[in-house]
Amino acid sequence: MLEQEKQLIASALCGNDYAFGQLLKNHERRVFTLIIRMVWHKETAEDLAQESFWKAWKNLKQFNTELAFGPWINRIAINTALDWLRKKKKEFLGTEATDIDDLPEEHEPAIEEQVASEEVEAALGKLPSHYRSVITLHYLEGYSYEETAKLMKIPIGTIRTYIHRAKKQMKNFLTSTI
Amino acid sequence: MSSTIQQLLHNLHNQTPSRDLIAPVIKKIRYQKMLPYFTILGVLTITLIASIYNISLSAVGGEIYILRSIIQDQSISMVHLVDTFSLLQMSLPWQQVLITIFTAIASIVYFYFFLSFRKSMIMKNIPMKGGEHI
Repeated sequence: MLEQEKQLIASALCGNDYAFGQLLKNHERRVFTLIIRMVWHKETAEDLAQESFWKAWKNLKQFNTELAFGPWINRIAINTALDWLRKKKKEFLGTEATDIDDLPEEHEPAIEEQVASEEVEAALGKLPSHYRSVITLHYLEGYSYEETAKLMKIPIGTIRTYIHRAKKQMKNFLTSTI
Repeated sequence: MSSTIQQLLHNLHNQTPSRDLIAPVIKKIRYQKMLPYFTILGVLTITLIASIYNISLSAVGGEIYILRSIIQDQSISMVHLVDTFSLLQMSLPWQQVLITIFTAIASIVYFYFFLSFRKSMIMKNIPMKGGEHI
């Protein structure tokens, strides 16, 4: 962890709201991006990012200063976004998926063209919210299958299924737009 | 050039919010820190005003008398209003000064801090209560 960040955390823990604001500035875009990829609505993502920052302040005393601040605030943001998705959609994290435990990741076919980031974002946006959340947590945030399953409170086999289907849907969308 | 979905996802960039997300949160934190002082000030003001009014019990009796006469007569005349005003004049000068000062302080606190805070929080749609699980 950077020395400057450590100092900001120490000041924030003493009640310095200015230091906490500076600390948040370093993570604002990252948290916002993480949430918007999960909820896919800009204003909601902004509201949820602010809610995450507020929760971080309220629970700052629980933060282990030996660890990095980034993953901690990201975790708060993920929980906030998942809570919102659960409230918003009853079908979110539905049990319609059949668990597929033996899908080899390596056999994913390549897309034979250069694809722009905007198109990938658009393809991500086309996915159902539970697929998008799994893709965001696993590929963009780097959580393992086990960690993603724990966060989303669904079985690990379902996570594998969601990822498999999400990638298939994204690939179909991207190949159709090329 | 060929890429997998995984590789394409890794190339995505961070996005930028359309408004300042941090300033309202800091404002809410500052308000939260000042909340105990506001509460103490409010309680002190109410207690003081109540104690001052308790001193002049005759004023309370007079108010009840006027209210009863208004209800009975089913009309409010200028005489009643003048009577009510004269009852306020029954307080001692030092009591009037104290009432004025504390009412002014309470009004400033209320209008400046509370209303400006509420406006910003409502505009930014931040929940007013915190402490949820993280």
